[in-house]
Amino acid sequence: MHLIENINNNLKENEKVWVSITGYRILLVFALLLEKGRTVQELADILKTNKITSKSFSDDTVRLTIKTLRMAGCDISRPCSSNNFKYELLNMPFTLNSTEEVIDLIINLRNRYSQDIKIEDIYILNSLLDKIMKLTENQVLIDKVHDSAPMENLKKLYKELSNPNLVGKKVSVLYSSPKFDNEILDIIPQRVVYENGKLYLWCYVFKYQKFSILNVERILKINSVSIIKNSQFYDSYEVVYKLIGNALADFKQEINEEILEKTDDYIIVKANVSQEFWFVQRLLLFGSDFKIISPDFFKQKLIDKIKLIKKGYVND
Amino acid sequence: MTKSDKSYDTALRIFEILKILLEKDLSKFDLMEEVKDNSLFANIYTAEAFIKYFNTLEILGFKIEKSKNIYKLRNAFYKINLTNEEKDVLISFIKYIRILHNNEIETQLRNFFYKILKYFPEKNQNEILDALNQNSENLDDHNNLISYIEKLISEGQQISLTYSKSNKTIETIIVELKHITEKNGNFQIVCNDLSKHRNRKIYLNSIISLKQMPSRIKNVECSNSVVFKLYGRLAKSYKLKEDEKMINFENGYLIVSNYGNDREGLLKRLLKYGENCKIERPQDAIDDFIELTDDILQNLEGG
Repeated sequence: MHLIENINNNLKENEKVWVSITGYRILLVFALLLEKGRTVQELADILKTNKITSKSFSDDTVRLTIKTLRMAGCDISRPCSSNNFKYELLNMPFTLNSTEEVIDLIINLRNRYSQDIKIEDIYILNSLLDKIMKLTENQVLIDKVHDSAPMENLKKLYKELSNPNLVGKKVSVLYSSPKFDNEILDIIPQRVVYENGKLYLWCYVFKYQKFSILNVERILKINSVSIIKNSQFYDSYEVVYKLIGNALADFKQEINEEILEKTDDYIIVKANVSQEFWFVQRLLLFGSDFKIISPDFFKQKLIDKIKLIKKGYVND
Repeated sequence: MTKSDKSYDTALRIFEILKILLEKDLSKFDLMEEVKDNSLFANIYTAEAFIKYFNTLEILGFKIEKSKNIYKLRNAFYKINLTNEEKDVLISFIKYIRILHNNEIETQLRNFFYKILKYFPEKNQNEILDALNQNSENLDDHNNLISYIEKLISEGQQISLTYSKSNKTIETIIVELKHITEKNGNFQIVCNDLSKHRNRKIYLNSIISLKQMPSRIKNVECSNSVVFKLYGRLAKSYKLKEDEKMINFENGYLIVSNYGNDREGLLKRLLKYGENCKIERPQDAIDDFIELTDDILQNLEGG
């Protein structure tokens, strides 16, 4: 442990400082037990080599030290054959005190924040908050934070579905379809997205011969993964677009996108588009705060679409 | 009481002080106040005794900083080891606290992170601390604007608001300010646009100027309602959003009334639906929608 490693270096040679030797010894034993369980002999050996406590360490001193630690609120096991005659620290008095109100605020903040970040980062945050909550040793609060973690129940499946090895492969999944109950679907996974508190998988579905969105919660298991022998089932092309104005605040990079340039005033993004319908919808959500840099055929397609939408009003 | 018992009492007192320092930063006087009713400290709480306790903790490796007479414990017995990814996510999460724009809640959350700071490895502590401090410092200008708008709201005058539109044109409108809201970490002002008699949301960073007008606000009730019609599969699968109700569903189309405040956001969403959607009323919403399509076409055709 960090403290123990440096403990002999914290006092310079011949430096005289007014300290409580007993207090020092007891806290040192506490730090040693925090690291791992130790026998009386192990504790005595360490204390003998310590600059401050370097004297014999009797069984009585051990007993009194442990007693004091217990009085201070430490739960320390009795040495016996089942624990190799070691004192083990089971619980300690130093816990992070936090109210349920603050924990609720953390949970709410996490839920809002999760809407704005990458899925991988949501999982990192979940595990980090779990680690922090362990400091409270309050099981109710620990469970509350853990149980409210977004998508935690889908972590394993998410990792499987977003595995880069699946790119371009045919994956057979057991899917709990709202219409057809459980059915086996052959898909080519494209991307997993988190929207409105749910995980969705964009994928090419062989049965429908088109791209669809599957609710990841309904994917019961991945049956098999196989290599596709024939040529591609769908086309893809690259679009370079530029975002300005309020779109900068709304932009969330997707996995099929690469940021080419970013300033305070604009972002230039290259997207690999295999699902044109989805991509057009994504662009239109930016309102008038986007421009298409290339290719021209896509720009023209978009112009035609906007003109068609406008026609519905102007001709009335 | 034997000498030995006294020594062990000293150890217990050091434990108590450590517990207190783990919880909060405080002055020596505050520390004495904290322990004055604790029988362990009866007649012991002198300044000299506390120096001895601090020395003992420091020799054990605890770093106790003193700044402006406040003692701050900078490390704890055990660490939460952070990977680089975890550190980056944590810092970004801490910075996100600002979106709350509620001083009381922000303070509670910041205090929580200050408290756990000492459990992180020392190499990460400064960066995390910077995020906690920077949070408020960098936002001073932003917070000043928010405070100014809140002051204007409380004074109840009509406001001449000049802002930059998405197409970079500048527009001045007379509004009655309602409140401030947030979207994806960006603040927006919600107001009644008195010329168009409807609610608007305007991003704070697009505001150029705000000028109080002589007229008091009249709390004009603006109708926000936008009625739109959906066709085809979209009509069958459409799920009503918050602030929406169904007016009619027949002959394969669905008519929806949206009475939310975010007209701009709604129009972009309806645009996304393409030819499967048509705005029915009011006329100013139709005009705004056409203006939006014109702006997009100008961007696309303009190069």
